[in-house]
Formats: sequence, C-alpha cells, structure tokens
Amino acid sequence: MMNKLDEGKVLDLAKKVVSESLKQGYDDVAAIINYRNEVMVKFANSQPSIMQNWNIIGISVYLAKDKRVATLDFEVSNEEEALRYIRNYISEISLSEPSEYYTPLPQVETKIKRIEEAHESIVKALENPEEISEEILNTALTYDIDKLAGMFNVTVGLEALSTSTGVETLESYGNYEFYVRVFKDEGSGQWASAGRILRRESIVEATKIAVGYALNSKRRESIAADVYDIVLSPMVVANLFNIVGSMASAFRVDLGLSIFANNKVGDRVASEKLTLIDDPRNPESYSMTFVDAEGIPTRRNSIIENGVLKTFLHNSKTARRHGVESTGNAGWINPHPWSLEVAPGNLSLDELIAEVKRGILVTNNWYTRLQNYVEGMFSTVTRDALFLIENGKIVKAVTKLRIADKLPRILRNIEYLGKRRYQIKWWEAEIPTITPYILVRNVHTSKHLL
Amino acid sequence: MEELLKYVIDVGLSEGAEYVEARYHKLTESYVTMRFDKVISIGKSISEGVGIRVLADGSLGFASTNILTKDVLKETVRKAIVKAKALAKQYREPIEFADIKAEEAKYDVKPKIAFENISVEEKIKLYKQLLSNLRSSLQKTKLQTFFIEHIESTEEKYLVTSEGVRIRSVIPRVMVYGGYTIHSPEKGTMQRTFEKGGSGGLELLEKWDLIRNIPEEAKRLEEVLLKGISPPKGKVDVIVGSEVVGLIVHESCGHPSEADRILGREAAQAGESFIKKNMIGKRIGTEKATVIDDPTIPGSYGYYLYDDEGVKARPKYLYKDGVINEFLHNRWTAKVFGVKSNGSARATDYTSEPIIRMSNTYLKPGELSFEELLEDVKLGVYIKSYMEWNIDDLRWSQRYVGLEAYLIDHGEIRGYVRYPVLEITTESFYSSIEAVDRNLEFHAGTCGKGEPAQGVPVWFGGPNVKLKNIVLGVAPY
Repeated sequence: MMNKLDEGKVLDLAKKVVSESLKQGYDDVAAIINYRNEVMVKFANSQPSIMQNWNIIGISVYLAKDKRVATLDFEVSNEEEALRYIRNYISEISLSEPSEYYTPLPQVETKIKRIEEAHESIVKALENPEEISEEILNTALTYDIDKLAGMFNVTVGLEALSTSTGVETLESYGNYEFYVRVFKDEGSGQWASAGRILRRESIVEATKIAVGYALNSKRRESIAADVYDIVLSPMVVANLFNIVGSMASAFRVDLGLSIFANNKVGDRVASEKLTLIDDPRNPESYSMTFVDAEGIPTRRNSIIENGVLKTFLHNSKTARRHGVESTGNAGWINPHPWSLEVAPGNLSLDELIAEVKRGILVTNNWYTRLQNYVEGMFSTVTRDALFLIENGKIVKAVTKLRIADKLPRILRNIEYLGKRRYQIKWWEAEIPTITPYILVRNVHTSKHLL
Repeated sequence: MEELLKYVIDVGLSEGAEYVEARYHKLTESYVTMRFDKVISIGKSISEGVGIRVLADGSLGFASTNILTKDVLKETVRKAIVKAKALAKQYREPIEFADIKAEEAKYDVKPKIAFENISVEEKIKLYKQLLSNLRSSLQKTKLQTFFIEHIESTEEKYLVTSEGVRIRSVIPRVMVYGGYTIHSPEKGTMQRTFEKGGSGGLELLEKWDLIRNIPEEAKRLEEVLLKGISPPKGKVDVIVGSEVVGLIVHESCGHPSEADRILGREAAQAGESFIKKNMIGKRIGTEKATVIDDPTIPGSYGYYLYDDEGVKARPKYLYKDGVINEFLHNRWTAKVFGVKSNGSARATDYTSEPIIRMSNTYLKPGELSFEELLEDVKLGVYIKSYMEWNIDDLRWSQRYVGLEAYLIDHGEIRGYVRYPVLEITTESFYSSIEAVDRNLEFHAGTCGKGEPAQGVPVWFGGPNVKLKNIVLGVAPY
C-alpha cells in the first residue's frame, strides 16, 4: 500500500478492486479509495490539550449480485486483505435477499481528474500546526478573558472512484475546520470557521466573535420561557439545517425520519423568504466535490426555493423509486447533502435585531433531539451568549433556555435573513453550512420547571 | 503484532518521548438493514490499525495509521513526538500521568452462539417475523414506517506501553437498532426508536425476545396515541421507568462526573460540568440516590476489564447515598486530583485517543415491588419510555419527553398520558427521589464524546423511581 499521497496508485487501487470484484461474479461494483493526512490541535484552558495526526487509507466498496446489495468498508493494513474479504463475501451476499432499492449503477462514464495542490495555507498548516495554534491563543489572550477552548483541523487527501460502468474519477482536497469557545465570568461565546483556504483573518475574526459574545454575556439574568421572536446565529442555523437538509434525503423520507415524509415536490414547506441549497460545487466549500459515490457529477440543487420544496436528494436507487433522476447526492444507500447554503437576505445583524419587539438573539445551541421526526417535534438547548431584545435593541444577556417547537413551524416563521454569511462546521454541525443570521417569529421556548 | 508494537515503543523512547503507548485495535462489524419486510442492504466494515500516544516535553501527542509496516509506524511515532514537542511551549501546565501498576493480562468474551452459526438468511427471517407480529399487534392504527438494523461486531485490542503494560482482549457485541411510526387519521403519528445491545454472541437475540416485546410495546403505544391526555397540572408524584432513569443517570451523574470534563478539556465540545474539583462530599440528592458505573458486568454492552491505558477496571460509586463520591478518571486527571486512575479511559478505534468514558451506569435498586411504588400515589404519572431528551452543557438542566406514559390515580394505572415533559435540574431530580423499586434493567446506547467524536457502547439503567412533588410540562404537539 501507499505511504505517500500518490495519485496514480490511488486510482489504480480503485480500478483493481472493481476488476477483481467483477471476476468474482458480482454484477455491479463501485470502489472508493480515500487517502488522507490530517492533523488536529485541541485546546482547553487556554493551552493545547492534544495534538492528533492521522495517515489513513480507506477502501469502500459497493457490490450487487442478483439484485442483492452490500457495502463493505475497510481500513486495513493491506489491499490483499480487503480483496480476500470481497472474494469471500460472494457466498454471504447470496444468502441475502434482493433489495427493493436495487437499481443498476447509472450508465455514466464520468471521467474527472481534478488534482490540484491543496491551498498553500492548508499545506503550511498541516506541516506547522503549532503556528496556527499560537495565533489563536495570542489573538484570544490579548482580551480580558478567563480561558478559551476549541480545535482546529487540517486535512489533505485524495479520493478515487471507479465503477463497473466505467467511471474513473480522482479528486484531491484540502480543507480546514476551526472553532473556539471563550469564557468570561458567567459568560461564554463560541464561533466557527471552515473552508479550503485558511485565511488568517478568518481565524482572527471567528476568535474575536467568540471573545465578543463572551465579554458581552459575562453578567446574565434569568428570563421566563415564553414565545419569543428569535434571531438565530449562523451557529444555530447550521445545527438545525444539518437536520433539515439531511431530512431531504429520499431515503430518510422512506424510513420515516423526515419532516418531508408527507410532502411532495412543489409543496410549500417554509416561508417564502427561505431558500436552502446544497452546493458541492462552491469552490469555497469545505466539502467541495465534483462527483458522487455512483459517478454522477454533483450539482447545485435547491432543496427549498422561496419556501417551496424543489427536490428531495437522490442517488440512483431512490431516484428510481420516486421516478426521477438522481440529484448527484449518492451515498450508495443513503443520499445526503454535501454542503448546505442558505440564500442571504439584505439586513445587517443590527437591522435584524431592529425588527424584533421582544425576543432573543441565540448565538449557539447544542443537543438537538426529536420526539417525532415526521412531525418535527424537537428541542435544543441554547448555550453561550443569549441576549434579550426589546424594541429593536439588545437590552441584556440572559441565561439558558430551550427552543422546544416543531421544525416545520420554524421553517414557516422565518421572516428576515441577514446579508452576511459565514461558513460553519463544528462538533454540532458536521455538514458545512454557509448561512446568515435568521429572524424567526413566535418560537416556543422552555426551561426546567423545578 | 507484538513485535511491531514493541518496535513502536522502542522508536518512541529513542526519539525522546517520556511515555509511549501503542494500541493495535481491530473492529469488525457486519450489518443487515431492512425496511418493512425487505432487505435494503447487508455489509461489513473492518478497521484495523495502530493508535500511538506519546508524552514529550509535557505535551500530549497522538498519531494513528492503518499502514502497518515498520517504516510507516516509525514515521508515525516520530510524527506524534515531533508535533507534540512543537506545541510544548504553548502548555502552561505540562501533562503528567499518575503512576500505575504495569498489568499484563489477556481476556475475552466467548459467545454462546457464534455469529457465523446463524446465517444472514435466518436473521432476515427473524426480523420478518418481528414485523409480522408488529402488524398483527396494531388494531386501530396503521404502521406507516418500519426499519431495523442488526449489527454484530468484534473488537480486538492489544495494548503495549513503555511502562510494561501488555493487555489483550477480544469482545464480541450485538446491537439491534430500529424504529417505527404508527399513524391515526385523527391523532397523527407516534414514533418509537429502540436499541438493544450487549456483549456476547447471538444468544442475546433469544434473551431480548424482540419478536414478542416490540409488538407488545407498539400495542401499548397505540393506546397512548389514541387515548393519551395531557398530564395533570400542578405538583404530582411521578414514577420514572427504568429506561428513563438510566438515561437520566447517564446524563446528569455519569457525564458530570467525568474528571476531564470537570477540568475543562471538553469545554468547546460537549461542555463542562456543574461539579467542580472540590465538590466530593457535597450532597446532591436523597439517600436513595446511589449511581454506579461498572465496566465489569458480564454480558454488558460497556464491558471491559482493563481500560485503554492498561488500568484494571472496577465499579465506581459516583453518587453514593445522595452524595457526590467519586469521579471517572484516566491517568492524567488522576495525577491532577492526586488519586489513582479508576480505569475509565477508552478509545473507539485505532484512530482515537483514549478518553474518559462511562461504561455501564445505573441507579442502585432497592427492595420494593413496582406495585409498592404505586400504592400511595394519589395522582401521578408513570413515564416508562422517552424519545426526545437533552441536557445543557453543564449537565444541570435536562428535559425528557415521555412516550409510553400513564396516569396514576389512587395507586392504580388508569389511563394514558401523551408526551409529558420532565424538565428538571440535576439537584431537583436526585433530591426528589423518594423510593426506588427492585426491578433493575439496563438499556443500550452509543455515547458520544471527544474530538473527533468517538462513539462507545454503554449500558445505562436503573430501577423504577418515584419522585415527589413534580411539575410536568407538555410537548408542543
């Protein structure tokens, strides 16, 4: 196996897995080889807590035999072992049953070779992560804060796809993810940044936003749970729209794990102010990719356009069941969004706040869980800075409460969107999401009763 | 493998590390996924590699690879050391580990029915039977969705450290995860997801008896959907069922007792803890509030005998008789607190650093029967199961939304309650425990923590618990 980023070998291995599998008698085969070098510095108490490094080759294989479907994933020490498992799996797959999702791999002969050096800022950070780490600590510690925690991560990798229909693609990638949480007295603030170019100013800006929210919330007062107009920060939007975007997967709809389970394309599902897009072609996106796991070229899809459900996210399997074309979102079994975007509005944050008579600015949240996925009953716990807004102005920082409502109602009650967007990816928002602040009317909140 | 791991240790020490730990970690999983009575797919995953952790100049470094050649392992351990050293000057307080006894051990869990002894075909047949029973159990509602995932896994580990630790283990596990939606045109939908898990072989399927238990539960949920009323207003007694109690102790005792969280190491991810360093001995609840974390329970989902730092596992009494008693420690936090590690460090796979985790966390049961818990409740609610839950990042304010729930009237269960909400602080919960019954049950879950996030198998459990003077909320349905 390889121990350096070697383009030729990565694609050759994908092709070899496909040809060897076909020799065993499988009808359809797709193989993805992913090779990555990754580094992560985690912080706590204003110092590093660990430096982590990964050097990993992953082999993922899709196999179909007589309409029986299987996926195999290997992170093993040599390719022969993976091939041995694939050979032996022919007897296992024959004991399964034909999948109701089976459809032949799409007849596309996508050939993409998109090898470009990761941006120099990413390569440099991979080699010298301690420099970025120092920059983060120095930026935050010039302010009067108690402590900071967070992490930054840089990955450089190659991904090759080969299929039995003749797809051969090879893409390189390089990206970063950063988030920081800052504490001061009773207050705290958290912010994130992600992308394919590690700009010093992005790191500094995210750190300063977290610092600002921490300092401005250092004294907090309790407020009652009520129905409030709420300004959701990009951190909160990213968390909630990770869930909403994933629910657009046609597979999730089939399993009953989606608020769109009873919708059809063309239904109004949100305020006309909301346009939610999946755009893996955005060159700024952390997860830019040109091809999906079946070899279909990816594309920019509007999931919701001006409040109307425009498409579910499909691979060729769900597309056949729904009688439509794939949207380039495979996942061999479960189609998924790559990179979410909320179309911007035209208000500044101050102008959004000015539209609120009595409400709350929620800067961060976590632990979103659902009672019922079809009806979208959920709650999420706010964390970090929360500000009470009265008559269009922030009046004070307040203590935590929950947003406890229904996702469809949140989508319908969106009234204004900010013009500035941020790319957010962090622990509670795995799919990168480019979004502005959003004002939602009449949101139900709750708080412990005892 | 032993030779390679020793080689890593030797290279690490010669490159100037103060401590080197090399863990070979192989995780093999097989799955079957079905929707209604149809198979979607089957599959297998194997992750196999070495995770290397070093202490160098007081800085902690980790590196992992699945390319198991001497050259690459050498490069990997060097990288861990060089990059850790490069960060060393940014540490205000260097990392140190508490001393341990260098253990050598080998242990495994032997399945009674090996995975290969029941074919995929037979497993599919079992879940078809489950679906068929589920359908026949529903008289008044329609089954709108149903899915199930059957997962078998085997975890093999070999830990070698520069301090002489040698621990080998093999643990097979079974997990079944599923969910369904029932629908009534008048009342809308109700959803249930369920998880069963344990260590061992396919004998667990027999023990769980899913083909009987899931349909019986669905039949009860149908009644809740159709006949459930809002919970009574004002203060009432609440009996919290084992499943909910288990989750509550996991969230509001286990997590806040993790010493790394108390020290702020997870502050930017899962948060900190309302428990501060000096709070051992502080009262948090009534004398009935004893919570134990015990990795050594045979057959448990969170089973292990030595942790991933080589420390022998033992039961830990986190809250004892209502008092904060002991934290979950690894070697780093043990050093900071001046205690011995109690063996709570686990890593999900070879790509993961060992961090402090719960194993099997439960509230200690008592002597009463369930009927005795009920008998003096004039007006109350019994919350048997939940779907939605969450807790704040200090593990203080938490919310559990009941799914299967009943009205208690003069000591008897007399009706159904829809979506009662128990939204309560940690201290209020443990201080409201008036009685616990003897029916200890465990439930399986995958606990998430760390960065990158690591999921580890855990059990959480407890008996049925009676809380006095509780105000319940209602979910927005």
